[in-house]
Amino acid sequence: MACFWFYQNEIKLEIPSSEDIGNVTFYKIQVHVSGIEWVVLHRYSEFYDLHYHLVLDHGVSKDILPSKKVIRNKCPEFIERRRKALEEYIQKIFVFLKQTMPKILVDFLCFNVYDSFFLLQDLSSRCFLEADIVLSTNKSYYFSTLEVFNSKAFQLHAISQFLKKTQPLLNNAESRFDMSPVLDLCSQLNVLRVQGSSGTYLKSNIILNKLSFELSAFKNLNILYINNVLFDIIFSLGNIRDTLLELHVANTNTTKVCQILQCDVIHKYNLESSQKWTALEVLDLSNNNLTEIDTTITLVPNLKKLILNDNKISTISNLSSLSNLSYLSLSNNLITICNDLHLKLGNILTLNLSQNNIVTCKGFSKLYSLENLDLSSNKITEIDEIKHIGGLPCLENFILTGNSVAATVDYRIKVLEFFKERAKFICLDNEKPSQAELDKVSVLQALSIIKEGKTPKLTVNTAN
Amino acid sequence: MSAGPYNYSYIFKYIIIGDMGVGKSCLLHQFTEKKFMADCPHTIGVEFGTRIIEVSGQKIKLQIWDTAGQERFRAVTRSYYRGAAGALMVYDITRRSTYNHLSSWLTDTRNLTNPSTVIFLIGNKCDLDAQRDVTYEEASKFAEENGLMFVEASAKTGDNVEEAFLETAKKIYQSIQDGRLDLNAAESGVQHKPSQPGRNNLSNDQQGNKDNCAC
Ligand SMILES: Nc1nc2c(ncn2[C@@H]2O[C@H](COP(=O)(O)OP(=O)(O)O)[C@@H](O)[C@H]2O)c(=O)[nH]1
Ligand SMILES: [Mg+2]
Repeated sequence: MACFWFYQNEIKLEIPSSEDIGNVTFYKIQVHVSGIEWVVLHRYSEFYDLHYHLVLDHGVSKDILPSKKVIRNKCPEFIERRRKALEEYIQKIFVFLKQTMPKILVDFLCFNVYDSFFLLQDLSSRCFLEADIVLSTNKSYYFSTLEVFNSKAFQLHAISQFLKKTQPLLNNAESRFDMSPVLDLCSQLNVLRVQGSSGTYLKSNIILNKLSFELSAFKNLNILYINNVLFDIIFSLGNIRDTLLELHVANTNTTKVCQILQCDVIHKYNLESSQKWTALEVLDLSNNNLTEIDTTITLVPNLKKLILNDNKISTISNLSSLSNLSYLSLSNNLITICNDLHLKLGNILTLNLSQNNIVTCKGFSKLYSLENLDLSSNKITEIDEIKHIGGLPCLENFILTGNSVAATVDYRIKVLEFFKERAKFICLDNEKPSQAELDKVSVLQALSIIKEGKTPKLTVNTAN
Repeated sequence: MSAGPYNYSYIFKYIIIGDMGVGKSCLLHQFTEKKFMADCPHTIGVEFGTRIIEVSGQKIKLQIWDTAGQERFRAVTRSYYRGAAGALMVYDITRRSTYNHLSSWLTDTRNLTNPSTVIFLIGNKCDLDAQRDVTYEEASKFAEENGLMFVEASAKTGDNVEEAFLETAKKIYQSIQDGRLDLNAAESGVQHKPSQPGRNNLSNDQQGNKDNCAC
């Protein structure tokens, strides 16, 4: 990310070419600030407006802008001459004004978009004007949806830079604006969304996901959404471990939970109690590349809801000590075997294992606390597997569609039969049993009771 | 025909805790089946039982979680304290160590349940009076000091087993009547059932709306 004050003397401005858009000629201004560069397009009339204000307010001499030409201003020679003249013009005024950098020039060259100093300046005035409204409504800030706040990861980087004071000239420049509205807003925000990107930022060569940032400015964050950010670039989580109630992370390259929960710790598997996420109740790490639930999950002792959909997890592990966990979702993962789930999960109410490769239900038979179970789109083929589910005493919702067993003749009746007297309480595949189904189930049950009544006699007979 | 056993107005959740071998599973079996199971298999993780009882003319279904006492299952069994309306804490009157561990079981219970959870202390195997290692008086004093209800019982003979389960239910029912126990609190361990089974609609909505926490 660029920093004007730091590289003030290395800034280069060029207008290498022009571009016709529609019927209008735009001149392409290239701004170079020590390795960072971006492009700004302006038509002549915009130069003209700029010049008008600079002459009026900033003592720029009137005659240095190439003159207006009304006729035949589309011929290539003319445009080329004008391009050169505008390049000279912009270089000249920049040298003249770079000590003061009037706002109109900052905006004209898009320093407020790409340069951390001017971005913060903008942010600060924006916060000053809007912070009270944001904080008085719901203390949530959708930075990315406001025009000025194009990308939060970018701004976070700028704020982090500011906090680190890595900008030597900042003290000198600090007097030019007041950072406190930004810090004040940050410290009071409850909800934050961070949007990163692996591509280049707007019309620059800045890559957002290479800009490191930290979260220590956020003292009261309850809910944090992080999307498409590399976790290696977050160098401090501040105190969010103590304040965060919900963490949602998606579209990152992480393969392990530790890369997220311990992103600011070097020895990721050295679990210290100071690293516990003491308040966190909801953790949603869907849509990442997680391959396992590693031991760092135990750093979230009060977790109630864990959502790990759309990852590459093959086993349920390390969850047994989470005594408040009541909701677990692992839809669309690589789970094949679920043995003795009651030793891996405690008092769980909702379990979503849809879109996995589960063949047998044996491991569910002692998850007595289950109320909602989604096993849709797995590989269950045998109707007899359902007997392991039939004994679950609290089950109310059971989803089994998308398994080949669901194509069995009389599928619903057969499944419901396993629930015996509880059949009428079971909502199967989002549908309550009809009276006709329940009648059939009771007939079948009556038959099997009669059968059972006969069985002992038979065995006695064979024994003799 | 199935309407009979499902005609109850409350569900109370219980948890049975205590060291391994004190007779937790046998107590549960005696209560639900009215039989003594001498060669009861070791509990792996958790077991479950239910029985419908009557308190002040109200039918109540008890859902009972029987936990394994072994340390290696401690983590997973801890989760069952959540949402328990009653906790039966069991020791073996013939083994002093099981009595000495009560304070640690009590700490867990106090930490992991809610304040309205009724804790009932059971000194089991009172049929083995000759091998007694813990006197009735000291256990009774311990119970009093900690505000627990207490009996000595025998899963073998069935002595006081009914009483322990029923007294706990009565106490919970009382708490509901006095308004000390909030039925709507998520972890109260008590569910009020409307007389007709019509709950599926409600839970359907919960399922459809997966963003809402189901807890
Ligand atoms: N004499 C006698 N033995 C009992 C009683 N309750 C349980 N036992 C025996 O104690 C052992 C452990 O019982 P169990 O229910 O498995 O204990 P748990 O580990 O607490 O579930 C078994 O061998 C039972 O037969 C009782 O009341 N009297
Ligand atoms: Mg047992």
